[in-house]
Amino acid sequence: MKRIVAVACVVAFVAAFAGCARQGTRIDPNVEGVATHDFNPKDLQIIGKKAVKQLLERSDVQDLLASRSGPDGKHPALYVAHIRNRTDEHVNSEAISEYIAVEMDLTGKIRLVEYTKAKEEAIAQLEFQQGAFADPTTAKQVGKMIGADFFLQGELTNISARAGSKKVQYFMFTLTLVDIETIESKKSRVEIQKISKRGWFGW
Amino acid sequence: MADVRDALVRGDCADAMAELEQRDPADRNKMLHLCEMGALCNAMGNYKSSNQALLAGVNIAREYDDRARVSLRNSAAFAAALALNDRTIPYRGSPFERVMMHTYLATNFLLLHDLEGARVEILRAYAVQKQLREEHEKRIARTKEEASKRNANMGGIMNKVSENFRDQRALLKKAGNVYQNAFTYYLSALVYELGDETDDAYIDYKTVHALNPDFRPAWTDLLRCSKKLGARGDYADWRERFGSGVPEDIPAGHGEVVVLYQCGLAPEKEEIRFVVPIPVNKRIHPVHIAFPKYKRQPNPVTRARLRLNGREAGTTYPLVDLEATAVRDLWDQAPEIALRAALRAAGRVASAEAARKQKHGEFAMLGVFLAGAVLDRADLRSWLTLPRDIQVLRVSAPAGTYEMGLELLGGGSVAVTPLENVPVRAGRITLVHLRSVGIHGKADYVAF
Repeated sequence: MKRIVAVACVVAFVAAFAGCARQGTRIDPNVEGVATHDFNPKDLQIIGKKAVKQLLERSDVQDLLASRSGPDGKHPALYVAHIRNRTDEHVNSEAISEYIAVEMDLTGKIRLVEYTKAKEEAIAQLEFQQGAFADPTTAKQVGKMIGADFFLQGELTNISARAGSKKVQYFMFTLTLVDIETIESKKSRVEIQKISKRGWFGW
Repeated sequence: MADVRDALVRGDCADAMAELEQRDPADRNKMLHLCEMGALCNAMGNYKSSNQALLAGVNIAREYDDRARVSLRNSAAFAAALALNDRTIPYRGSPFERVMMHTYLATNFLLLHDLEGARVEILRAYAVQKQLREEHEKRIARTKEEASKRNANMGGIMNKVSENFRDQRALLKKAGNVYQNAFTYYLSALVYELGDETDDAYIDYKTVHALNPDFRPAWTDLLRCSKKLGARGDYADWRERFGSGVPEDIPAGHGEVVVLYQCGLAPEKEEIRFVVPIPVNKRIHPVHIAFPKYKRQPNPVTRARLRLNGREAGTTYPLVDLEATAVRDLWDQAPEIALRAALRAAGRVASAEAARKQKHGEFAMLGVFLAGAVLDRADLRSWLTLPRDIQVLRVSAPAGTYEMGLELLGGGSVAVTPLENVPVRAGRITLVHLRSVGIHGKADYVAF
């Protein structure tokens, strides 16, 4: 009897901790998986969505974009330039850049051009297509790349403060739309503040 | 780690890495192991691997910092330390080692041409320096309170500790501030200058000068920055202080070469034992305690000389003496180490006295003392692949491509494998990274 009880305890113990090995579960990407004090995926989403929305909701920005629309109704061309990370965390600024590029593209109010990233690749491909190895009937025309009307740049900064067991983290992201011809700029700003506390008791 | 250090002194980094990779550290030593990997990878020019190791180490350090105030793990470790020795405590790095983790990371990012990554690490280094200084002040206050509560005769104990550190007083004076690393600030100023943030660079050059007034490269940096910022009052003050012979401008068509030189190996701890008076049950007992003490490492190299296309360009200037910093750091921790050692010793004496009252008490008492002698060991852990000191040279050169020769100077001179076709661009900086252990060195560069 004692042996059965002992074995049952062992089995129960193993069963209870069998789930402790790390397993992944898919969740909605819009849900915050883990709330952290540091910059996390949810912060990136908040920044990307709000910064673009705030900028495009401004009537003066809408007027500026409209002023650069082509006579044929084509939307102004825009590229996303550098997003600078000025925080004390290793933030993937490329990810922020891409998120903003997609958000802008999805609005349907601009034509996205890849000036900083894909241009060299496209030029290399055009040079190849003009060369002896490529079928001339499939070669694309040189001199058709769109000149951008605007570019976007951004900057993420943070300020940290600590008092006793409390830590505060403040992030500020500014997104700037720049008219290439006039250097007129329009800005939006997104702020995130987090507070965390070191517990009294724990492991 | 003796095998790792021997391999480094022989100039065989690959062998040193093989020795290090074979080790399987306990969790409490994992952070230290990652620091050693990080420094070794940096010495071998594997900056990405160095970053991987050091970032993992930083994560462990931050996890320790964020533990609950009454953490079961911390309490268990502290109890074990009082019962056995300090080696049971998870290694969290001395303050200057914690700062060096971020300093290495910043250097690695620069050498990978990642200015943004370097900037993140210098900001983290500032935050860590401030945090550790505040924690140190609180720990000193807590140690005094604890010692007073337990009537530990700290005055008598610290007198004995001080006697045994008498031969290192000169190093203690040389050390300066453990919580402000002049090289970290210099690197930070460089990162700001590379990012055209001259105002922030100027602030950090001023800090470098305050920490090491004899460091001549900073004199030129201060004159250049104050002039560029239009700070006429400051510029006049610096000029008066440094004299007319110090250059301030980079000639037109010239770029700069900045050599960051890690020289030698950090000191290693050894165990010393001495007798201290411990009060137990209202009597004073003379008890042996084990204490760590840094042992100086001989280094045949004192400076490095740079040659550009065969012509001498300059020799490096010492900026930070990490050996002196390590000694100072240990001295700052001495009250806490001494208190724990005293409490352990007091526990042994009390146990021995209780044992003596039992049947065959003399044997039991002897057993307690013998067990204490075996188990009471000093904590000799430290970051052993750090350099002994860090030196810098900053010179200007006409824009062009150079063969850069570096010589290790000491009793004689030993040439490091030269760097070929190194570009120096007008108005820009070419960073040269040099690491030497003994008479063996390796150099690398990145042109901005």
